[in-house]
Amino acid sequence: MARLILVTTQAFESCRDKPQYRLLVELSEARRGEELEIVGEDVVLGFDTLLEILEDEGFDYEILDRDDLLGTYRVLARKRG
Amino acid sequence: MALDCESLRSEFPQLEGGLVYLDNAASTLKPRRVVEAMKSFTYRSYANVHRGIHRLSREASRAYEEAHERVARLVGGSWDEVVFLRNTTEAMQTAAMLLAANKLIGPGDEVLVTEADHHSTLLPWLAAARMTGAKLKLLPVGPDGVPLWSRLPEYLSEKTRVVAFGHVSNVTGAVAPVEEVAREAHKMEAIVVLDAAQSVPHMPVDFKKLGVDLAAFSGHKMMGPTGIGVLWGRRDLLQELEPHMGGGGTVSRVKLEAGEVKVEWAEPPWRFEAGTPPIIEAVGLAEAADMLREVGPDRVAMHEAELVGRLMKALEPLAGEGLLRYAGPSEPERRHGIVSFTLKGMSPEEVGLLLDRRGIAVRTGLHCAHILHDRISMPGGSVRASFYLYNCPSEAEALAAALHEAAERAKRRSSQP
Repeated sequence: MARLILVTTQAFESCRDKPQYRLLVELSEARRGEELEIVGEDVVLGFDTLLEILEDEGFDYEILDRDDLLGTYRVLARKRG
Repeated sequence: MALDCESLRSEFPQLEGGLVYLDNAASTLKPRRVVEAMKSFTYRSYANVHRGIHRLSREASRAYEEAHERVARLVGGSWDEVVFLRNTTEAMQTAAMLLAANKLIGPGDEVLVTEADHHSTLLPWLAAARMTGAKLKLLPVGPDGVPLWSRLPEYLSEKTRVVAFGHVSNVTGAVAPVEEVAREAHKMEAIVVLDAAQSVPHMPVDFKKLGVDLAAFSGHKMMGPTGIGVLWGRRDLLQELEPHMGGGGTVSRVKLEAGEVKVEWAEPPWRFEAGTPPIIEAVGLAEAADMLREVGPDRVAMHEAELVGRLMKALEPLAGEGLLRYAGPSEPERRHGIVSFTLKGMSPEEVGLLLDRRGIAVRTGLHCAHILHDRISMPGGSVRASFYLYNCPSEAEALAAALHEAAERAKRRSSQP
């Protein structure tokens, strides 16, 4: 089962605990074949930026949901290899 | 003579890969000579200080005592006005607790800080006020986030016991008129405490000339190691204060007389350095202070002013179009070494992340100044670029170019159906 990562405004728990930071840590620590479900909002991290990061960090991905109007997304990412 | 940033860069191995490091307000990189000084001291002369008769302890004690002198040369005053603590936060906390414990603040008194202050200034004085029954007052900031110093007389009264504030804002880079503030505060016989974390590393600072009574700054923000900071205090004031923290090294004699413990405190600064101090770190900090004096704080100041001017000039089109908003003054000459901002349509963290992908390190968030960000309508924080002596003009330009790209991306995003 994919691990859920929230990149949303609600995911801010303190000024230290930034969801964008947590996402980068999770991506860097993911093992080959590991799946991550990323639920996010453009106001926190733009959809286009997220997809670029996933490509650069060696992830295949599937867009499960994207709402341009609301600026929300849900992406399933799988570490290559 | 202008500062030669290119040749200084070779002293900093972390820059060898082409990193554009603009997070200097958080912490600076370490030059070889600081690391070498610490290494050489650790391998050859290290022992605990002031406690041993053996050769190593004597050598270590001498190096540690000399470190006070070398740091004092950078900020004015004498070696015994320099107290080594952990960092600015602990130094400010110590100042607050010392004044509270010595009853220089009491019920009904007032302590004045500003809405622009870093939490390391705000929170220790809040704690001291709560502990003593004093009232904490905040001098408001204007729309640009700069304290309204012209309103200072309204906020001062005969009840004001302490005025604490930042010399250079860690968010806006605005420089406080320290001498004038100190003069006004002293008219009320208030003690003036300066957060000099963002000034000592970047410009000439002489605490005596500025007229402050206590000041705090960190080693790691001026090329020194982490784990050491300075509480600077006027000699006569330090002499008056009993330490709030006792321990090894703080006393000259402890006796039991008629069933009561009698304590004779050591002379300053030792009475305020409880326990084994940061000895190796002091050697590193002293080396950093020497390097800074050799480069010349006035040249560092001029160099950073040039970089800020260059960056803000390159960002003019974005600011003009309303795509970039500054936290702080929009005139470069009113800020020192720090440029914070937001980009329209993009969170500060996303901007930071995109810059990181271009090899540019900046800080994003609220920079431990939540009230300030709320006051300037940036509750989500800002992106902060902060310069130092090893940054070159090409880096200011690289940052500007990357920000133009990021702004384009945000614009494209907002124009999508």
